[in-house]
Amino acid sequence: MSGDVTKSNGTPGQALAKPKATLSERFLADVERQFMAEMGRGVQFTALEQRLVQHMYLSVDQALKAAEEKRTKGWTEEKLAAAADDPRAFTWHHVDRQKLALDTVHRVSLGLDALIPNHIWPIAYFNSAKGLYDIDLRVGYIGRDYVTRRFALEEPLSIAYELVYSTDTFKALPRSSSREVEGYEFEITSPFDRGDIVGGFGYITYDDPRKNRLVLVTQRDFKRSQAASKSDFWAKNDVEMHLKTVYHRVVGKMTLDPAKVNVEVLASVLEDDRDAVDVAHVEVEVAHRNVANRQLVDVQPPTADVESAGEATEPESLFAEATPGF
Amino acid sequence: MLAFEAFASGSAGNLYRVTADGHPPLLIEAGVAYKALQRAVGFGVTQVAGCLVSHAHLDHSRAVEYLVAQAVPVYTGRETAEAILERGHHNLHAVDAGQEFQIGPWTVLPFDLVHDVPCLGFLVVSRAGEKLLYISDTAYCEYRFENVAIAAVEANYSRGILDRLVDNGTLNQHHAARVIRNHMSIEHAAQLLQTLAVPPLREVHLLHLSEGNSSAQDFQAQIERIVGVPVYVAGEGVRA
Repeated sequence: MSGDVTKSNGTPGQALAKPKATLSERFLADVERQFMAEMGRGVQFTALEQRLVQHMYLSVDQALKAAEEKRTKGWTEEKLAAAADDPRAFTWHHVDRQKLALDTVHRVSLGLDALIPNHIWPIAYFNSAKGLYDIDLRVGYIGRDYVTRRFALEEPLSIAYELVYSTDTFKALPRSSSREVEGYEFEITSPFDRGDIVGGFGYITYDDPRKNRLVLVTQRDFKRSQAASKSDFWAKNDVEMHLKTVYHRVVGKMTLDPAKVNVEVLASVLEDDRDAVDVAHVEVEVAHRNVANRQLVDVQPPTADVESAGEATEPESLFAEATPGF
Repeated sequence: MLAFEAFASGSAGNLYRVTADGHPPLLIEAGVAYKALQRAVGFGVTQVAGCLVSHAHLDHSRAVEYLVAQAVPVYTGRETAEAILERGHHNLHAVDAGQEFQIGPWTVLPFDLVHDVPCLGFLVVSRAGEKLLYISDTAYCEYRFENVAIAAVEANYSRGILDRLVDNGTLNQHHAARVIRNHMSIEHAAQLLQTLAVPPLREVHLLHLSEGNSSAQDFQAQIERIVGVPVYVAGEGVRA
């Protein structure tokens, strides 16, 4: 009987239900669709790209679960049972999947791997205009280092990133009429008690040593980074945040090669911070233009009769057992 | 006569008081340590009619559990109440946007604002019919209001200042985007206040100015030109 299907239990004549796609499969399909839209029809993911997409899914999934766990920490079982229906719950159903797919395509096309520490940080922000979470796939400092090396106009042989402490000795040796190669002298004199961080540097070496470059990172750079970040993050991760600043300052000095990569995509990934601000401005401006200061609401004071009779609506008291400790 | 005082305003904490002749005072927000709150209101905490809390962030709700323990009724949105005191309290009252309610002689109308957690603004009316509008921690306000005597409105940042700080790397871009989506710019505050700039408006208070992204003097001058009545900038320790 051509065209008939049989369920595995042998019951004839019943259509075999198509298995529902898993969230992971749906994510891959979203990204493939976006990939084809970006790269042109007929372009397929390589095995590596497919793996990177799967890694992105796992990383975002972990980030959502961690955020939801944090949000619902200490909740009662009853409240937890209803938590998934909450529009603010960190679940895949509340994520702007189209934006995520596009951002994933861009990062995967650069070879960024979300499961390598500090390549990608997925962070969910509730976008009140859309009523969905935007997932920012922020590129970490190791990811920036990887992408910049890979797509640099001239690929460096190596890049050294160092923090300089108060007991270290450091001497910068700039290029001059008597010195053809830029360099430095760096000595750790007290390796197990190096004192306070006083600065940092990066040293980029090339085939042609005359192109080697020393990039200095000062306390002013650290302070600027600290001011732009959450201060408690710096307090908890002092050394890593200083080192991260060194990475950012150093890779920022390297020139990218437009022949190796779609520079617009690269800019959107590495400099999407600037876009984030513009997008936020546009979203709020549009919402403001469409809905702000429109609907009149008003209220009148009660007459003495109403007030004394207590006829106004009484707010509900959230009564529970007395709060412990009071 | 209706009056508004700001004891603390900004991301470090918010505490405001509304008074009127013959009315027990009403607090708005409780985002400071309880001892600071006691000092601010002259240790007359139990004399207040109640406290309105816009949302659950600590800079607005820090002292709530102490207030309810001192028998001060606190009024806030349902989700906010649950977020602040999960087990509830008989002095913690859940109110709904659009549903007016009474606190003694005061009539209060809460309305929804646009923040990253549920957040309410309040239209407070005295027995004599004088109205105070309180709006803070919102990207914008959907509503318009009439016959407001005192407007206390957030003016968190200036778009120009914020963009400049992002461009020169001083301000983290993602932090800036969050500010834009959750707080009112001076530009949007100006448009809102323009709709109120008719009698009986007699004073404006600018609230929750960001330390780095605003300019108190410029904001004050800009809004004074629009509303034509005295404009006060609220800040920590300021009794406007």
